[in-house]
Amino acid sequence: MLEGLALGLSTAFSLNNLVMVMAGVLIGTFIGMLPGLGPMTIIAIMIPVAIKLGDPSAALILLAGVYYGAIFGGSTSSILINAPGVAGTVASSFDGYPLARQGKAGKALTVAAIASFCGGTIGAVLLIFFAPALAKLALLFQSPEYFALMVCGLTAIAAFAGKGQVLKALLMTVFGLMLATVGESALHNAPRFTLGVMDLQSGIYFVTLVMGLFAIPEALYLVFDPARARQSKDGDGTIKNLRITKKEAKHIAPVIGRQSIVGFLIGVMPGAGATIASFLGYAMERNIAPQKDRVEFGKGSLKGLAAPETANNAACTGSFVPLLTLGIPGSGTTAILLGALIALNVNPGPRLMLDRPEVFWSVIISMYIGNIVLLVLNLPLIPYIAKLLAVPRNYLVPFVLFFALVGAYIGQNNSTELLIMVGLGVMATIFRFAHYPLPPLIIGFILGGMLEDNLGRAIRKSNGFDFLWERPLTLSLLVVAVLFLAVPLYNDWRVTKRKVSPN
Amino acid sequence: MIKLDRIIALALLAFSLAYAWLAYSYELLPFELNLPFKPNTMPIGLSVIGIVLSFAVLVLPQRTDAAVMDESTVDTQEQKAEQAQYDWIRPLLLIILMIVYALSLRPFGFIAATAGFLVFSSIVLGERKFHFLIPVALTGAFSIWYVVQELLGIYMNPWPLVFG
Repeated sequence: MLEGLALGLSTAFSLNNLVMVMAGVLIGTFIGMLPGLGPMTIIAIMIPVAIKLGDPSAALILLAGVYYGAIFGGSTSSILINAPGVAGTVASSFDGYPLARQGKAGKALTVAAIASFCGGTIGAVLLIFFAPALAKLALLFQSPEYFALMVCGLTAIAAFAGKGQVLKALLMTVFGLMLATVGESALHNAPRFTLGVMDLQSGIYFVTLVMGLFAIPEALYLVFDPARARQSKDGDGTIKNLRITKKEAKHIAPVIGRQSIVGFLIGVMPGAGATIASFLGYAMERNIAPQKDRVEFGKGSLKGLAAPETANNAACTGSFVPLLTLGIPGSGTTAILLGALIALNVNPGPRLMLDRPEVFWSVIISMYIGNIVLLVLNLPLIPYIAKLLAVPRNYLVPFVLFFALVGAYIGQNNSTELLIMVGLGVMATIFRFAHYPLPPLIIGFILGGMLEDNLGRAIRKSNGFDFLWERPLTLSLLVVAVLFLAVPLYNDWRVTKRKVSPN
Repeated sequence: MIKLDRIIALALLAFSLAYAWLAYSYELLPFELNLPFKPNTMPIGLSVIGIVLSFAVLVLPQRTDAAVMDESTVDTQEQKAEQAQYDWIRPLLLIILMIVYALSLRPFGFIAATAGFLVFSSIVLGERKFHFLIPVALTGAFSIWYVVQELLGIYMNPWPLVFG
């Protein structure tokens, strides 16, 4: 492990990669601050650039920096103007915004930055211990286990992302898997489901799908619903006094310690991610706080701000564990990162640590660097970066759409790709209106190829479906997958039944 | 009134049926006929699951009370209340502009098509300060072209096709 750390340090501390992490964090913060633009959209926009870099370490370092920066940027807009760009920072606005209204915006931002820094850093330390252990275990896995693991991951993601709409989430997952079968597959060279369209021969381009599913609806929503982009009149945008006192630091320290661990563990679970971690962290701290602190929650409590901020950053780090060790993304954002890695010919999974240790370790080390950059560089710059919040919608929306279009165009250099993207964008916007969750779709799409590949190999090896019940590990993973589905489906059914017939 | 989520379920049911038909009618090569895992094995399985799930969403009562939130939808309950005030015309015009942009990239070249897209989409959104808008659009188009072609090394024809 020490060898790996040394390798990671030497890779991540190269001038090129240091520039990447700083650029990533700054770009992420800049764009993440704009209301309505979440990490998924920003990473999607940055992917063509990352792929073009060619070096997987640099690309992943850049994207991880963007991810952190975007989360921090989202917290900034939550605190300053009560406009969380993503669900993951909604809980930060509960107490962050009241603090800003009391004229303590600077203090709130500092608490958010320190909490994010600690959550991310402690998460990264835990990652160093967790990831290699899990990777070692995962080396025992063969095709049947991988297949079962992916089914497990997909069902868990659908179960968590659905929140009362598990069937819809499952349907979206299957739809994503279907889209993944378009074009040639790994096991068979003949194209499928192309309907004679030449441009579909190699399948739907991943960046096109991501842009269509996330960037376009996000921009169109800003136009559909002007209230979403409207800025609050309460914050005047001036940020003074970034300092916090020693007493305040002592007050929030235990919260940060607890939520770093809880957030990380939630982040490791597939499908849970930063949103659940932040809400859970907030609720947990509120419940265990002494009475005099509890009444402060929602009115500008520092603890109430530190809890979700720590938890969401620790969860972001935690979500890298399944990505790096099993090749299974834990959230929509890590799914997009996985897609980028595959495009760069890197196969994340247990062998990543052995085959490409420089990628594995440099990403972990760059997380530390990213967190330090966030604290040292971003925090003092926040009063200036916050001026970006004044960019009018009339300019913001055309540029977001333009970046999405260019991202898909430079990958493939043909206009058909753009038309497919616009079509997907319209479809995704309609899906969002009807509350069909989109992250399961993208995860299904990204895992589709690998799922088919592993299923095919497992079936060919055992000459049938016997492997499903003959291999204990496969069977147990599939049982877990069924449980992941059964519990929320049963809950859904119970609630619906109660609603339909109140008697 | 039929709800939008049922209409989508119906559309996905139709999609799954079409997908199933394509999967079943997929022409296998002679040597593939006896393989335990054929190119259409997984698609057939997916189509069956897709049909069952979309049918279930279509007919089963859906929860409407749930705090339906995922990473991409925030405060949907409030949005629902504001749905009546949604602006439908402008997004539609933006979608049309995106299609026009896709079709005009080749004949008009990257810079002209992009500047045009940025100017017209801003106008659609209500921008009228042309002395500011046109320079911003031209600078934006040119700088992105410069970054993509000169720094990232991806070729994009900047000028209209007639100029070669």
